[in-house]
Amino acid sequence: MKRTIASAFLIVFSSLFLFSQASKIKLAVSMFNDTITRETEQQKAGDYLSAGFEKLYTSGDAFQVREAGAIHKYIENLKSVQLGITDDLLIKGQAEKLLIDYFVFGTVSSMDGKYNVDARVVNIDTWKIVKSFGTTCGSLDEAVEEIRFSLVDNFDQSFIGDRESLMTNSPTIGVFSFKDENPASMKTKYTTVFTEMLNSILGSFQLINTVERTYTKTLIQEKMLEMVGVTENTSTKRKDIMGMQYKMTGGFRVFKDVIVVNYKIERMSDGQIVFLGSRDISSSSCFRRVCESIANTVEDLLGRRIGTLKLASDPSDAEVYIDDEPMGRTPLLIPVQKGKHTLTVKLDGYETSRTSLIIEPQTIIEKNIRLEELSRKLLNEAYNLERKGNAEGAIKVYDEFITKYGDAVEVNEALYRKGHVLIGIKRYGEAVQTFDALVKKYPDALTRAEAYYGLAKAYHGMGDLERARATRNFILQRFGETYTAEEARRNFNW
Amino acid sequence: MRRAVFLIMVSAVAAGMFSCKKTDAELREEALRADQKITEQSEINKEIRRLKDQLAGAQDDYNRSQIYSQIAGLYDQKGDVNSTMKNAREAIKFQPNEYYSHYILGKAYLDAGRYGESEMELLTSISLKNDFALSHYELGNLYYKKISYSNAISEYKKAVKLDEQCYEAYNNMGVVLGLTGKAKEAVKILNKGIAVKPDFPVFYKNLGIIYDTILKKRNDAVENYNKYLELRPDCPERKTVEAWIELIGR
Repeated sequence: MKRTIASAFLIVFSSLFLFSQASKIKLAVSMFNDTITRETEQQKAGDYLSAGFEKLYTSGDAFQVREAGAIHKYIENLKSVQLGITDDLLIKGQAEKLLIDYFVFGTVSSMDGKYNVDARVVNIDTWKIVKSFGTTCGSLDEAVEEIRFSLVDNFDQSFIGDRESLMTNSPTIGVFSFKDENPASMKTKYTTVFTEMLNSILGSFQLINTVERTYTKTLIQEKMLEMVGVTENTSTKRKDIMGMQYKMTGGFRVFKDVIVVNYKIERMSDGQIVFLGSRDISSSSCFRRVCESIANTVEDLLGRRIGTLKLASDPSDAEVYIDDEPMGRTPLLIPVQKGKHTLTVKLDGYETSRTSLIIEPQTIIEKNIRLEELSRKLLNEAYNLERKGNAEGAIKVYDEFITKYGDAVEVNEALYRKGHVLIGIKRYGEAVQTFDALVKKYPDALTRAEAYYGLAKAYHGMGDLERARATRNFILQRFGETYTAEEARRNFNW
Repeated sequence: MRRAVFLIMVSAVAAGMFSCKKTDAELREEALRADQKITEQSEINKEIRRLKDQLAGAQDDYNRSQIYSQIAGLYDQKGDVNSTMKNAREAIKFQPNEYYSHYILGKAYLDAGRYGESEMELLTSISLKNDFALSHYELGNLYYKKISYSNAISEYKKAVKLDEQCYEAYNNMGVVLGLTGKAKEAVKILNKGIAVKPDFPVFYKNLGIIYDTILKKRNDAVENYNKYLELRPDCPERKTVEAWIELIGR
């Protein structure tokens, strides 16, 4: 009997213990990076902070903490990925083995006699920052106390539940490197301090998700040759980085009495730059405030002003334009500014689809466009009329084709032929208009060199020698090695 | 009565204090505005303001264009792409045949990722003045971004032929040569750049990478990495480069 009661007690207590452990937040404190500035590295400020935070989390009831030693191997692998020695696949899928859900990452640097300490709690599966806090203060202990309130005392399951539910539909951004863009900037340590600060502050905003920089750094610290005057991280051409939709890069220019930080937000899907910003700063002591202000702008832009379009087409691989701006090819998942837009989907051999589109912020709009095959019947009819010498009839049918198929790719052929027919019957003014429409509407069309040729011919026919010569020179310069340029050299001897 | 008056006064002061309490965001904005005022006094911003004031008294379109072009140039120095574009466009509006405005606009378009427009502007700039090295240099950068490496090399070559001091063109040409597997040529070009500007750190980092990853010349790689760190002791990737050196030594 006694044994039964003891067993029952054991089962109940074990269950209670397991239940209490299950509801705890499982985390590990990673080593705080103190190598940004030599002073903090020499002081081993990172060790001090990570030990301090580990102690705080261990003493809190809400947490189940794995010692940093237990995750050492993972951290080492992460470092080797960061150094470009191994592929980042090495750290993928390893999270489960760590038996934690969250990492606490941090950075510490010193500037102008003060410490900049930034800490963030990161979801180990998604690498998104769940909560972060940073401070600029006189001592490391002061920093620990300030951060403790946000990241220890007020970090619980209820916060996590709210935060992670918000994350589902929010746009995701990653902060990549900021470059030193003039010689004076190269002599400072502003870029690294600022970038870490910005990463942390962005992570504290609720309407956007920020991929922890410790992860994005794994992709940018490879042995990449460095270009001057070209701002890009070539290794970020990958588009599948932790669901990241945007990347933020920037640069510093330091003048003797002002610091300028420029930044840009680029859409990962097509490399399109969606925002360019510039800020003047009087001194590095204002960095944290400027970062907060920039983060505000980013949240406003991505969180309140942008929604998502999920677009497919039948057939796929069609070109997509929103308000006449190229967006890529279907299928596509792209962020779009909120409001009313015109969506254009084009594919060679198919009628162009033009529809209106309303985008709500933080909402995914799904669309599937079925493209109708384009009939070349009218085009062939016009060719036949042209061949038979019926210029007027051909022009009429070309116009019909142009009107019917709007801006389908094939329309450039119709415009091109129509222009030549007009020259043939000496209606030079209309020919100029037609060729002009072609080169403006289809700047990349295969017929564009020929269109300029037609344009030059039409100007000449009109007696506008100046424009005719300018257009001829443009052909020779721009399309110098083409057959059209050869023709121009041979025939345009004015 | 006195007590009532006193209470009213205390309440009013308290209410006033309460209503004056500013949020963190408001305080931050206030501090940023104050900082902005300080930055307005910087030399480059004062010069921009002086030029903007001159616009009102501009004698003709040519003069107006010159001023806009100078303003665009100053914004370009600051790296403010939006303002550069805006002012360069104005300059071109008043004087379409000024090579420098087209160059500045082309460069800004390139920074903004608008490659088609950038190419058009840079080619226009070159057609107006084909011996301006920087237009060729930026066109080289554009072709590099468009992964048109042979065109990029050709433009960089033109840039350094026109201006031997255009050391950045040597660097970028070295990078493109390295990327296309012409490591020995890349080393040669980067060393030419060093002869022009020996204190430019990026040359050494790139040489280090080429020796390390392509030519497998360990000693040369370490030497160049060390030189890079010597010239840029606080560079953001200091630890990374130190680790590369350590790896080579293993």
